[in-house]
Amino acid sequence: MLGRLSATGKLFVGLLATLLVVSLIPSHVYIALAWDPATTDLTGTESSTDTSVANANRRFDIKGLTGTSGMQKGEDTDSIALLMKMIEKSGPNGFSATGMTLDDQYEIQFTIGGSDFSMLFRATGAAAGTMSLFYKPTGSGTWYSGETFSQSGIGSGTTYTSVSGNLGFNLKSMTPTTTGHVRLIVKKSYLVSLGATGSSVTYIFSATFANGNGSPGSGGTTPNDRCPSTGTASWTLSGDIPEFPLSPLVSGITTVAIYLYLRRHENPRPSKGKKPVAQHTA
Amino acid sequence: MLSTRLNVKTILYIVVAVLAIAITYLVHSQVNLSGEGRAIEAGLIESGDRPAIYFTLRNTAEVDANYTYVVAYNLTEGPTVEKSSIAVPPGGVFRYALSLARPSYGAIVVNLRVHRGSEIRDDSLLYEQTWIVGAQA
Repeated sequence: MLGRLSATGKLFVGLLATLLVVSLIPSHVYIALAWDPATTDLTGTESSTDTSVANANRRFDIKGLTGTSGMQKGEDTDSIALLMKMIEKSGPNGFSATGMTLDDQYEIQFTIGGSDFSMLFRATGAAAGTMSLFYKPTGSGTWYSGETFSQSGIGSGTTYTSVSGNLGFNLKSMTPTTTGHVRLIVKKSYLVSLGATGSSVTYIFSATFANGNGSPGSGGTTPNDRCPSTGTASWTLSGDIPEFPLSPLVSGITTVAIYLYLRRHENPRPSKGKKPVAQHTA
Repeated sequence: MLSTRLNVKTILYIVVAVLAIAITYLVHSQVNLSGEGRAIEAGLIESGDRPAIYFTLRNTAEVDANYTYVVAYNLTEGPTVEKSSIAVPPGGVFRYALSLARPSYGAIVVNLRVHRGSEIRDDSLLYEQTWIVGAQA
Protein backbone atom coordinates (compact mmCIF):
# COMPACT_ATOMS: atom_id res chain seq x y z
CA MET A 1 0.00 0.00 0.00
CA LEU A 2 2.84 2.38 0.89
CA GLY A 3 4.48 1.50 -2.37
CA ARG A 4 1.85 3.52 -4.17
CA LEU A 5 2.56 6.68 -2.23
CA SER A 6 4.65 9.50 -3.60
CA ALA A 7 8.07 10.19 -2.07
CA THR A 8 6.61 13.11 -0.09
CA GLY A 9 3.76 10.93 1.14
CA LYS A 10 6.18 8.22 2.30
CA LEU A 11 8.31 10.80 4.07
CA PHE A 12 5.25 12.25 5.77
CA VAL A 13 3.93 8.88 6.91
CA GLY A 14 7.42 7.91 8.10
CA LEU A 15 7.70 11.12 10.10
CA LEU A 16 4.32 10.51 11.70
CA ALA A 17 5.22 6.95 12.57
CA THR A 18 8.46 8.12 14.18
CA LEU A 19 6.67 10.77 16.20
CA LEU A 20 4.10 8.20 17.27
CA VAL A 21 6.78 5.80 18.45
CA VAL A 22 8.65 8.56 20.29
CA SER A 23 5.48 9.74 22.00
CA LEU A 24 4.66 6.22 23.15
CA ILE A 25 8.02 5.50 24.77
CA PRO A 26 7.22 5.23 28.47
CA SER A 27 9.22 7.39 30.82
CA HIS A 28 10.61 4.40 32.72
CA VAL A 29 12.69 3.49 29.66
CA TYR A 30 15.03 6.26 30.74
CA ILE A 31 15.31 5.02 34.31
CA ALA A 32 18.39 2.95 33.72
CA LEU A 33 20.14 6.05 32.48
CA ALA A 34 19.09 8.30 35.34
CA TRP A 35 19.06 6.66 38.72
CA ASP A 36 21.13 7.06 41.85
CA PRO A 37 22.01 10.74 41.40
CA ALA A 38 25.30 12.12 42.69
CA THR A 39 25.01 14.41 45.72
CA THR A 40 26.57 17.67 46.82
CA ASP A 41 26.48 19.51 50.13
CA LEU A 42 23.10 20.82 51.23
CA THR A 43 23.27 24.47 52.23
CA GLY A 44 21.87 25.06 55.68
CA THR A 45 23.13 21.88 57.28
CA GLU A 46 26.33 23.40 58.54
CA SER A 47 27.13 23.36 62.24
CA SER A 48 24.26 23.65 64.68
CA THR A 49 24.33 24.99 68.18
CA ASP A 50 21.59 22.69 69.38
CA THR A 51 22.69 20.86 72.47
CA SER A 52 19.37 19.56 73.67
CA VAL A 53 20.17 15.94 73.07
CA ALA A 54 22.80 14.23 75.15
CA ASN A 55 25.90 13.34 73.16
CA ALA A 56 24.42 15.03 70.13
CA ASN A 57 25.79 18.52 70.46
CA ARG A 58 27.14 20.22 67.36
CA ARG A 59 25.08 17.79 65.36
CA PHE A 60 25.68 19.42 62.01
CA ASP A 61 29.41 19.25 62.60
CA ILE A 62 31.43 16.34 61.43
CA LYS A 63 34.19 15.52 63.82
CA GLY A 64 37.42 17.15 62.75
CA LEU A 65 35.74 18.89 59.82
CA THR A 66 34.43 22.19 61.15
CA GLY A 67 31.88 23.86 58.92
CA THR A 68 31.28 20.81 56.81
CA SER A 69 27.69 20.28 55.77
CA GLY A 70 26.06 17.34 57.48
CA MET A 71 23.70 16.54 54.65
CA GLN A 72 23.87 16.34 50.88
CA LYS A 73 21.29 16.43 48.13
CA GLY A 74 21.19 15.37 44.49
CA GLU A 75 18.81 14.92 41.59
CA ASP A 76 18.66 13.70 38.04
CA THR A 77 15.80 13.50 35.58
CA ASP A 78 14.39 10.49 37.36
CA SER A 79 15.10 10.66 41.07
CA ILE A 80 16.17 12.71 44.04
CA ALA A 81 18.61 11.62 46.72
CA LEU A 82 19.23 12.94 50.22
CA LEU A 83 22.26 11.90 52.23
CA MET A 84 23.19 12.17 55.87
CA LYS A 85 26.86 11.98 56.71
CA MET A 86 28.00 9.66 59.45
CA ILE A 87 30.53 11.02 61.84
CA GLU A 88 34.05 9.69 61.47
CA LYS A 89 34.46 8.14 64.81
CA SER A 90 35.78 4.79 65.78
CA GLY A 91 34.34 2.75 68.59
CA PRO A 92 30.75 1.89 69.45
CA ASN A 93 29.28 5.03 67.90
CA GLY A 94 30.91 4.60 64.53
CA PHE A 95 28.75 3.72 61.56
CA SER A 96 29.29 0.46 59.75
CA ALA A 97 27.00 -0.63 56.93
CA THR A 98 27.78 -4.25 57.68
CA GLY A 99 27.81 -3.95 61.46
CA MET A 100 24.51 -2.31 62.30
CA THR A 101 22.56 -2.95 65.45
CA LEU A 102 18.99 -4.22 65.27
CA ASP A 103 16.48 -1.33 65.05
CA ASP A 104 19.05 1.36 64.35
CA GLN A 105 16.95 3.91 62.50
CA TYR A 106 17.89 6.63 60.00
CA GLU A 107 15.23 9.02 58.79
CA ILE A 108 15.12 11.94 56.37
CA GLN A 109 12.00 14.07 56.12
CA PHE A 110 11.09 16.71 53.57
CA THR A 111 8.13 18.56 52.13
CA ILE A 112 7.27 19.11 48.46
CA GLY A 113 4.17 21.12 47.67
CA GLY A 114 1.49 20.20 50.14
CA SER A 115 2.86 16.78 51.00
CA ASP A 116 5.28 15.66 53.68
CA PHE A 117 7.52 12.69 53.03
CA SER A 118 9.65 10.52 55.26
CA MET A 119 12.32 8.17 53.96
CA LEU A 120 13.27 5.82 56.73
CA PHE A 121 15.86 3.07 56.95
CA ARG A 122 15.70 0.65 59.86
CA ALA A 123 18.22 -2.10 60.50
CA THR A 124 16.84 -5.61 60.81
CA GLY A 125 20.27 -7.16 61.21
CA ALA A 126 23.97 -6.41 61.04
CA ALA A 127 23.85 -6.12 57.25
CA ALA A 128 20.12 -6.05 56.65
CA GLY A 129 17.36 -3.51 56.84
CA THR A 130 14.19 -2.05 55.42
CA MET A 131 13.72 1.26 53.67
CA SER A 132 10.23 2.73 53.83
CA LEU A 133 8.59 5.77 52.36
CA PHE A 134 5.81 7.44 54.33
CA TYR A 135 3.71 10.38 53.24
CA LYS A 136 0.95 12.65 54.48
CA PRO A 137 -0.71 15.92 53.59
CA THR A 138 1.13 18.77 55.32
CA GLY A 139 -0.60 19.52 58.59
CA SER A 140 -2.15 16.08 58.87
CA GLY A 141 -1.15 13.87 61.76
CA THR A 142 -1.52 10.52 60.02
CA TRP A 143 1.42 9.11 58.14
CA TYR A 144 0.49 6.74 55.31
CA SER A 145 2.72 3.89 54.23
CA GLY A 146 3.76 4.08 50.60
CA GLU A 147 6.35 1.42 50.03
CA THR A 148 8.71 -0.77 52.02
CA PHE A 149 11.79 -2.45 50.65
CA SER A 150 13.67 -5.06 52.66
CA GLN A 151 17.23 -6.00 51.81
CA SER A 152 19.67 -8.48 53.29
CA GLY A 153 23.36 -8.95 52.56
CA ILE A 154 24.01 -5.21 52.44
CA GLY A 155 27.50 -4.14 51.43
CA SER A 156 29.15 -0.79 52.08
CA GLY A 157 28.86 1.63 49.16
CA THR A 158 26.45 -0.50 47.13
CA THR A 159 23.18 0.99 45.91
CA TYR A 160 20.10 -1.20 46.33
CA THR A 161 16.76 -0.58 44.64
CA SER A 162 13.27 -1.82 45.33
CA VAL A 163 11.47 -4.15 42.92
CA SER A 164 9.31 -1.28 41.68
CA GLY A 165 12.34 0.96 41.24
CA ASN A 166 10.69 3.65 43.35
CA LEU A 167 13.09 3.50 46.28
CA GLY A 168 16.76 2.90 46.82
CA PHE A 169 19.50 3.33 49.38
CA ASN A 170 23.24 3.31 49.73
CA LEU A 171 25.02 2.85 53.06
CA LYS A 172 28.71 3.55 53.39
CA SER A 173 30.78 2.69 56.42
CA MET A 174 32.87 5.41 58.00
CA THR A 175 36.59 5.00 58.46
CA PRO A 176 38.86 6.64 61.02
CA THR A 177 39.59 9.34 58.45
CA THR A 178 36.47 9.57 56.27
CA THR A 179 32.79 9.99 56.98
CA GLY A 180 30.27 7.31 56.20
CA HIS A 181 26.79 8.00 54.90
CA VAL A 182 23.19 6.90 54.58
CA ARG A 183 21.89 7.95 51.17
CA LEU A 184 18.18 7.48 50.51
CA ILE A 185 16.78 7.75 46.99
CA VAL A 186 13.23 8.10 45.67
CA LYS A 187 11.82 8.36 42.19
CA LYS A 188 10.24 11.72 41.30
CA SER A 189 7.26 10.17 39.55
CA TYR A 190 6.51 8.19 42.68
CA LEU A 191 6.47 11.36 44.77
CA VAL A 192 4.12 12.89 42.21
CA SER A 193 1.75 9.96 42.53
CA LEU A 194 1.66 10.64 46.27
CA GLY A 195 0.85 14.33 45.91
CA ALA A 196 4.14 16.18 45.37
CA THR A 197 4.00 19.25 43.12
CA GLY A 198 6.45 22.02 42.34
CA SER A 199 10.20 22.36 42.65
CA SER A 200 10.67 23.53 46.22
CA VAL A 201 11.87 20.98 48.75
CA THR A 202 11.50 22.39 52.24
CA TYR A 203 11.73 21.33 55.87
CA ILE A 204 14.50 18.86 55.14
CA PHE A 205 15.90 17.27 58.24
CA SER A 206 17.44 14.02 59.32
CA ALA A 207 17.27 12.07 62.54
CA THR A 208 18.75 8.85 63.83
CA PHE A 209 17.68 6.64 66.69
CA ALA A 210 18.80 3.54 68.45
CA ASN A 211 15.92 1.15 69.16
CA GLY A 212 13.83 2.87 66.53
CA ASN A 213 10.21 1.83 66.27
CA GLY A 214 9.91 2.18 62.51
CA SER A 215 7.55 5.14 62.70
CA PRO A 216 8.29 8.47 61.05
CA GLY A 217 8.54 11.67 63.04
CA SER A 218 8.88 10.18 66.48
CA GLY A 219 10.79 7.09 65.66
CA GLY A 220 12.45 6.47 68.97
CA THR A 221 13.49 7.74 72.32
CA THR A 222 17.23 7.24 72.10
CA PRO A 223 18.79 9.62 69.57
CA ASN A 224 22.10 8.63 68.12
CA ASP A 225 24.88 11.14 67.71
CA ARG A 226 26.21 9.70 64.53
CA CYS A 227 24.86 12.19 62.10
CA PRO A 228 23.38 15.66 61.72
CA SER A 229 19.80 15.95 62.80
CA THR A 230 18.89 19.40 64.05
CA GLY A 231 17.03 22.14 62.21
CA THR A 232 15.73 22.13 58.67
CA ALA A 233 17.10 23.07 55.27
CA SER A 234 15.61 23.86 51.87
CA TRP A 235 16.48 22.97 48.32
CA THR A 236 15.08 23.92 44.92
CA LEU A 237 14.93 21.25 42.25
CA SER A 238 16.11 22.15 38.76
CA GLY A 239 12.66 21.42 37.35
CA ASP A 240 9.11 21.09 38.57
CA ILE A 241 7.70 17.74 39.45
CA PRO A 242 5.70 16.48 37.75
CA GLU A 243 7.79 17.37 34.75
CA PHE A 244 6.05 18.80 31.71
CA PRO A 245 4.11 15.99 30.01
CA LEU A 246 6.06 15.90 26.77
CA SER A 247 4.63 12.66 25.35
CA PRO A 248 0.99 13.80 25.17
CA LEU A 249 2.22 17.12 23.77
CA VAL A 250 4.13 15.43 20.94
CA SER A 251 1.13 13.23 20.17
CA GLY A 252 -1.21 16.21 20.28
CA ILE A 253 0.87 18.34 17.93
CA THR A 254 1.19 15.44 15.50
CA THR A 255 -2.55 14.85 15.53
CA VAL A 256 -3.34 18.51 14.91
CA ALA A 257 -0.81 18.62 12.07
CA ILE A 258 -2.40 15.64 10.37
CA TYR A 259 -5.87 17.02 10.90
CA LEU A 260 -4.91 20.33 9.27
CA TYR A 261 -3.22 18.47 6.42
CA LEU A 262 -6.34 16.44 5.80
CA ARG A 263 -8.61 19.47 5.94
CA ARG A 264 -6.47 21.32 3.47
CA HIS A 265 -6.46 18.43 1.03
CA GLU A 266 -10.13 17.73 1.54
CA ASN A 267 -11.13 21.33 0.69
CA PRO A 268 -8.22 22.93 -1.16
CA ARG A 269 -8.36 26.71 -1.17
CA PRO A 270 -8.32 28.38 -4.55
CA SER A 271 -4.94 29.89 -5.31
CA LYS A 272 -4.72 33.67 -5.03
CA GLY A 273 -4.34 35.56 -8.29
CA LYS A 274 -5.80 32.80 -10.34
CA LYS A 275 -9.25 33.17 -11.64
CA PRO A 276 -11.37 30.13 -12.02
CA VAL A 277 -11.46 28.92 -15.52
CA ALA A 278 -14.89 29.17 -17.01
CA GLN A 279 -16.15 26.07 -18.59
CA HIS A 280 -18.06 26.32 -21.76
CA THR A 281 -20.21 23.73 -23.13
CA ALA A 282 -21.20 23.56 -26.64
CA MET B 1 -3.87 9.30 -8.93
CA LEU B 2 -7.24 9.44 -7.20
CA SER B 3 -6.67 5.98 -5.77
CA THR B 4 -3.27 7.01 -4.37
CA ARG B 5 -4.81 10.08 -2.66
CA LEU B 6 -7.47 7.88 -1.15
CA ASN B 7 -4.84 5.49 0.16
CA VAL B 8 -2.89 8.36 1.70
CA LYS B 9 -6.02 9.64 3.38
CA THR B 10 -6.89 6.19 4.67
CA ILE B 11 -3.45 5.79 6.19
CA LEU B 12 -3.56 9.25 7.71
CA TYR B 13 -7.00 8.71 9.19
CA ILE B 14 -5.74 5.47 10.74
CA VAL B 15 -2.71 7.34 12.12
CA VAL B 16 -5.00 10.01 13.58
CA ALA B 17 -7.15 7.35 15.21
CA VAL B 18 -4.08 5.63 16.70
CA LEU B 19 -2.72 8.94 17.95
CA ALA B 20 -6.03 9.84 19.55
CA ILE B 21 -6.03 6.51 21.38
CA ALA B 22 -2.37 7.03 22.35
CA ILE B 23 -3.07 10.49 23.74
CA THR B 24 -5.99 9.18 25.77
CA TYR B 25 -3.80 6.41 27.14
CA LEU B 26 -0.87 8.72 27.96
CA VAL B 27 -3.02 11.30 29.70
CA HIS B 28 -4.81 8.58 31.63
CA SER B 29 -1.55 6.93 32.68
CA GLN B 30 -0.10 10.23 33.89
CA VAL B 31 -3.20 11.20 35.81
CA ASN B 32 -3.66 7.79 37.35
CA LEU B 33 -0.15 6.61 38.09
CA SER B 34 -1.17 3.99 40.59
CA GLY B 35 -4.09 2.34 38.94
CA GLU B 36 -3.87 -1.23 40.14
CA GLY B 37 -7.17 -3.04 39.93
CA ARG B 38 -6.69 -5.84 42.42
CA ALA B 39 -6.71 -5.44 46.18
CA ILE B 40 -3.69 -7.66 46.93
CA GLU B 41 -1.23 -9.06 44.48
CA ALA B 42 1.88 -10.99 45.49
CA GLY B 43 4.60 -12.86 43.70
CA LEU B 44 8.13 -14.17 43.52
CA ILE B 45 10.62 -12.73 41.07
CA GLU B 46 13.33 -15.21 40.21
CA SER B 47 16.28 -13.08 39.21
CA GLY B 48 19.56 -14.94 39.40
CA ASP B 49 21.17 -14.83 42.81
CA ARG B 50 18.85 -12.04 44.02
CA PRO B 51 15.29 -13.42 44.08
CA ALA B 52 12.63 -11.08 45.44
CA ILE B 53 9.23 -11.47 47.06
CA TYR B 54 6.75 -8.67 46.60
CA PHE B 55 3.18 -7.76 47.33
CA THR B 56 1.00 -4.82 46.41
CA LEU B 57 -1.96 -3.83 48.53
CA ARG B 58 -4.61 -1.37 47.42
CA ASN B 59 -7.17 0.14 49.76
CA THR B 60 -10.37 -0.07 47.74
CA ALA B 61 -12.50 1.32 50.57
CA GLU B 62 -13.55 4.94 50.78
CA VAL B 63 -11.92 5.53 54.16
CA ASP B 64 -8.43 5.11 55.60
CA ALA B 65 -7.63 1.49 56.33
CA ASN B 66 -5.04 -0.16 58.54
CA TYR B 67 -3.36 -3.42 57.70
CA THR B 68 -0.72 -5.57 59.35
CA TYR B 69 1.67 -7.72 57.38
CA VAL B 70 4.02 -10.42 58.63
CA VAL B 71 6.84 -11.74 56.51
CA ALA B 72 8.67 -14.71 58.01
CA TYR B 73 11.69 -16.36 56.42
CA ASN B 74 14.71 -18.38 57.42
CA LEU B 75 18.19 -17.14 56.72
CA THR B 76 21.52 -18.68 57.54
CA GLU B 77 21.65 -16.48 60.63
CA GLY B 78 18.30 -17.84 61.77
CA PRO B 79 14.59 -17.14 61.35
CA THR B 80 13.60 -13.57 60.57
CA VAL B 81 10.17 -12.05 61.09
CA GLU B 82 9.21 -8.65 59.76
CA LYS B 83 5.95 -7.36 61.14
CA SER B 84 4.52 -3.93 60.51
CA SER B 85 1.22 -2.11 60.75
CA ILE B 86 0.49 0.31 57.96
CA ALA B 87 -2.11 2.94 57.14
CA VAL B 88 -3.30 3.31 53.55
CA PRO B 89 -5.59 6.12 52.35
CA PRO B 90 -8.63 5.49 50.13
CA GLY B 91 -7.41 4.38 46.72
CA GLY B 92 -3.85 4.34 48.02
CA VAL B 93 -1.38 1.60 47.21
CA PHE B 94 1.20 0.08 49.53
CA ARG B 95 4.08 -1.86 48.03
CA TYR B 96 6.42 -4.25 49.79
CA ALA B 97 9.43 -6.04 48.42
CA LEU B 98 11.94 -8.37 50.03
CA SER B 99 15.23 -8.92 48.24
CA LEU B 100 16.99 -12.13 49.23
CA ALA B 101 20.39 -13.62 48.58
CA ARG B 102 19.83 -17.03 47.00
CA PRO B 103 21.16 -19.77 49.28
CA SER B 104 24.14 -21.81 48.13
CA TYR B 105 22.38 -24.93 49.42
CA GLY B 106 18.99 -25.82 50.85
CA ALA B 107 16.12 -23.39 50.49
CA ILE B 108 14.60 -20.28 52.00
CA VAL B 109 10.94 -20.59 52.95
CA VAL B 110 9.10 -17.27 52.91
CA ASN B 111 5.64 -16.91 54.40
CA LEU B 112 3.54 -13.78 53.90
CA ARG B 113 0.40 -12.97 55.81
CA VAL B 114 -1.63 -9.80 55.47
CA HIS B 115 -4.25 -8.96 58.07
CA ARG B 116 -6.95 -6.32 58.15
CA GLY B 117 -6.52 -3.90 61.04
CA SER B 118 -3.69 -3.23 63.44
CA GLU B 119 -3.97 -6.53 65.29
CA ILE B 120 -3.37 -10.07 64.16
CA ARG B 121 -6.44 -12.25 64.59
CA ASP B 122 -7.51 -15.44 62.86
CA ASP B 123 -10.60 -13.79 61.43
CA SER B 124 -8.69 -10.79 60.11
CA LEU B 125 -6.48 -12.70 57.68
CA LEU B 126 -6.81 -11.25 54.17
CA TYR B 127 -4.05 -13.05 52.36
CA GLU B 128 -1.48 -15.77 52.92
CA GLN B 129 1.16 -17.15 50.62
CA THR B 130 4.29 -19.25 51.00
CA TRP B 131 7.22 -19.40 48.60
CA ILE B 132 10.22 -21.68 48.53
CA VAL B 133 13.39 -20.16 47.13
CA GLY B 134 15.78 -22.92 46.19
CA ALA B 135 19.54 -22.96 45.86
CA GLN B 136 21.12 -22.16 42.55
CA ALA B 137 21.38 -25.20 40.31
